[in-house]
Amino acid sequence: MLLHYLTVAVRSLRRDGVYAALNVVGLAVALAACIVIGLFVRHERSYDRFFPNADRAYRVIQASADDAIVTSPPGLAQAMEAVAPEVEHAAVVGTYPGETLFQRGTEPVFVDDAFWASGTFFDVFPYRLVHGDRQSALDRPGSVVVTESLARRLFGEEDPMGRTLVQDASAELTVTGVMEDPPTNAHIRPRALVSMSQDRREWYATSAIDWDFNDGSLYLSLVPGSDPAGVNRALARLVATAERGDATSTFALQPVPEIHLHSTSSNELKPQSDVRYLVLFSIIGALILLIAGVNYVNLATARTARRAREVGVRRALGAGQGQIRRQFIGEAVVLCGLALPLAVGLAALALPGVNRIAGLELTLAGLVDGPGVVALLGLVLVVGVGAGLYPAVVLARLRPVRAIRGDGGARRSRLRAGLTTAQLAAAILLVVGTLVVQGQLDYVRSFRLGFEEAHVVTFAMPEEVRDQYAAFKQEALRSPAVAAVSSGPPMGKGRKTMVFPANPEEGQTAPVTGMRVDEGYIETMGLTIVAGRTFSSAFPTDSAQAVVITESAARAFGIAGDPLGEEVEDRTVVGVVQDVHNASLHDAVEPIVLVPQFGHNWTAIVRLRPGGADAGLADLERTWKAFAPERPFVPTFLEDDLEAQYRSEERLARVFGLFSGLALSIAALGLFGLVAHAVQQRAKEISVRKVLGATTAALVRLVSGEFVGLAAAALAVAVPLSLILSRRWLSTFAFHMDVGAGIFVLAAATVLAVVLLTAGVQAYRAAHADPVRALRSE
Amino acid sequence: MSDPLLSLRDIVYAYRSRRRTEAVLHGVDLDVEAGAFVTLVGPSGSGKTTLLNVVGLLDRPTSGTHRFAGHDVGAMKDRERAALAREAVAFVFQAYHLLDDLTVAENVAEPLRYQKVPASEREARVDQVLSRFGLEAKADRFPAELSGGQQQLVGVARALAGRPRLLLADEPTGNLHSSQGETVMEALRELNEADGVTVIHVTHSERWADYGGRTVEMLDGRIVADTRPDGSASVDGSASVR
Repeated sequence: MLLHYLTVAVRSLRRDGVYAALNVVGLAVALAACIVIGLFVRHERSYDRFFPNADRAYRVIQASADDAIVTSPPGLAQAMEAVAPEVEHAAVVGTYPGETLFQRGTEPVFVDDAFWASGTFFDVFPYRLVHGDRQSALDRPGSVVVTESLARRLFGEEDPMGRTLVQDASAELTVTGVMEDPPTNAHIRPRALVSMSQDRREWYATSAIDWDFNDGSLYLSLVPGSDPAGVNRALARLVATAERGDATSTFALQPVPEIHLHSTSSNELKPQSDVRYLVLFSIIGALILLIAGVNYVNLATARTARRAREVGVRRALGAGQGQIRRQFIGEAVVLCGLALPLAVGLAALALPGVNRIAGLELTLAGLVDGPGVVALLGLVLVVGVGAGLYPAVVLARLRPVRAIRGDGGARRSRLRAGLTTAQLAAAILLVVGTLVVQGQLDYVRSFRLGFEEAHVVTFAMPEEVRDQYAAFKQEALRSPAVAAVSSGPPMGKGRKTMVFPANPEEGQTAPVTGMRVDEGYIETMGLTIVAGRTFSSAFPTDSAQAVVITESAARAFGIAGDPLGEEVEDRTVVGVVQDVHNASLHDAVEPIVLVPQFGHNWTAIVRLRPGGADAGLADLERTWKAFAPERPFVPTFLEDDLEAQYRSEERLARVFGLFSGLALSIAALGLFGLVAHAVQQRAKEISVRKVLGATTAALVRLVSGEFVGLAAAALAVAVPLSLILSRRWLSTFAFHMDVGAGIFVLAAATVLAVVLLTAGVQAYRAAHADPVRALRSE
Repeated sequence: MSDPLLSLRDIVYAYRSRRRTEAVLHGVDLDVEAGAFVTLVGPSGSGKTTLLNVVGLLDRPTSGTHRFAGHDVGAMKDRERAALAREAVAFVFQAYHLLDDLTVAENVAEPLRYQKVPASEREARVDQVLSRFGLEAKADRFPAELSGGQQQLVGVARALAGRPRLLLADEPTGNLHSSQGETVMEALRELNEADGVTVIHVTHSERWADYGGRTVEMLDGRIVADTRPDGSASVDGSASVR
């Protein structure tokens, strides 16, 4: 019987090709969107679960009244091992600020994901070592374990074991192991693991816990079957009995697989995602599915009249209502089934692009394993039954005597109107989402950051260049396209050379970032001096005694009144510059102290003259080749680097744009079907009115009026909802745009235009049809 | 004499609109014995088709007593009525009403599917019925590929396949040439005589009116004449109409 229904369904769809195509395409696009979203969600939820001990791996979180941090006091690891028998292994892991510089010989390689770790790292994170011994690789100070890919980058095909690397131009490290590259779904993906330094070892080796400091993150692997609550109690006891001044923070375990999506900590070792993004994308997928499902219902009910006779005949042949229902639900499931291969194909086509946009490595492999297949078939079944149910019930309820005459029954349906309103509301939500995310991106891009990021290129300098920095600078400045040359950490990337922690006794109310910069840095970065002067080698004492601070640094040091001449960190303030957004706009402004270090910085900063980008880069490369002929010249524009900070927002904007475009087009398909239905049902009325002298405009108004009404209802639902949701998202930025009426006007106009186009065109055609034919067919 | 196969007493069928009630059948009494061939005649709007729909269990009358095959149909639940209709009643329509997406053989098999006849028996019965009407060669064709007469023969074959006790034919020849009509009417007669299927046949046309033995004439929702093969007639008698 099932096969029979299937055959009938396929034949019926073949006969009505346009209808089937509209539906299959709409469903396929929606299913493809859901497949991609499903793969993404699955990937995000899989973080850190690949470790065999994932279910008993924990991290210690330190919570205070207004924050939670992932770092713990030194000594806590040993103390835990002593007092909590549940703890099998404890490992301490920490990051280095900013990028870490590794040099093999003189070649600099900046690594984003370098960590220091205790020797027990591989007990808690059981990565496979390709070379070296996992038990002892990180035991001695001065050891480093690198990933296979970093080893290739540093050493090519040579054997990396036992080789020497210089870290940040200061510490010599010996490669003691090569580990597999961590998968993309790990919350930290170390590319280099440095063993704990001698200083740190001595600090950690003191028997007591040093409650005054927080250093690395403490990860624990518990004994199989043990209860983490016991460890939490042990932590509480430790804290209760400790002498730790007026500190009030508490400690608790957080399962490692929860870190990626459920982190609330302000100092994560690496940026994590948020389960809310998953919820958001799942909602978007559901909305698109809803829109395609509503399409099916609308197009199917539009065909009710055409299928009514068949239903009547079948009833006369002895079919019960249940059999009719099953047949039409089956047809919907078949249609979804037809859409599925197309959807998988579309998803396969879209994945490379999505991966590029989102910086992911999703593959269709997630579809072909057990859960994937079950999810796909479940999706088809749910969408098919969900979409087919209403038309099937309507058709099965038809009275056979009337149905056999081709009388499709119900003229208007509140449900249909409601569904269409919901569909349009969903589309409006997505359009507003697109506009808000895009608007915030534009806001961020046009935001005055406190420095001039345009026309600035930066590049790391190798030893040859650093050694002859003054000559290099002089040579580079000879290019007419180069406006200024300096060196130091470029602004806007969150880099810092040092941090001066808050020190209330000395009157310093907040931590202050310190940066070592070359002469000319202030001019090259385009900082604005509000008081005093810039550094200059013309003042012989500057390099040893001067600092320039930002306005908020002046406030942090408590010298906001007249900072010039005040002492800061044993130096004299010679100038004050406007505040600078050194990190992304998610974060508040950080106070900064600029400490002169004339010459000899890692990163060169060059300001090119406007319009001189190509010439300037060519000249710079020539200069570079004169000093370092064997090295490639790899400059990056600061503007591009800053863009990268908003990559997740940019992704969101693109994803929203993509999905709202999809949603609108699927909704337009559905509207098309619905208007066709209305025109078909009102053909006689339209003809009579036309014969009575109605104008085309009046007829178009008559037909489209209903749909404009539905669009208005959808706006009434969607606008307040999208306003609330936008505000919530924008509040994650310390600096954000205002949601104005313009966005809603634009969204409303877009949706109304789609409605009027689909409804208006058909209404116009109906109004121009020969009225006599329509009347005769009655 | 045993109970008749079909017995209608005082059947009223009315459409209710917002303001008034308009009766289509005004108290119809009719008995049809098993094995009869009844021809229902009368002008358009006289209520023939409505009566047929009531008899065929497609529609419920507004009031009156309806007995069929020993059941008091009015007292039956929808599900039971549908089951009874499925087993015992078949229709032949003026517009054939074949299912366009099914082949000839599949159309004939469809009622058997609804009767849940097992696949092997279904095939045997379909083959048998098709060969009886000379349609074997058309088994895999779709209705649109057949002439009107052939389509109606498929309609008759489909009606027969379910082995009904009562066959209702609503102007089966209405869309056909006279020679095609002849074939279809002969098929109906043969069913009646050889298989003992009771037939009620509606026609507009004088030509087919005397095909069966008994002719019932309707006018304005009432039976106004009932002519039996033995020549007896009750014309507009108090027995038929209140």
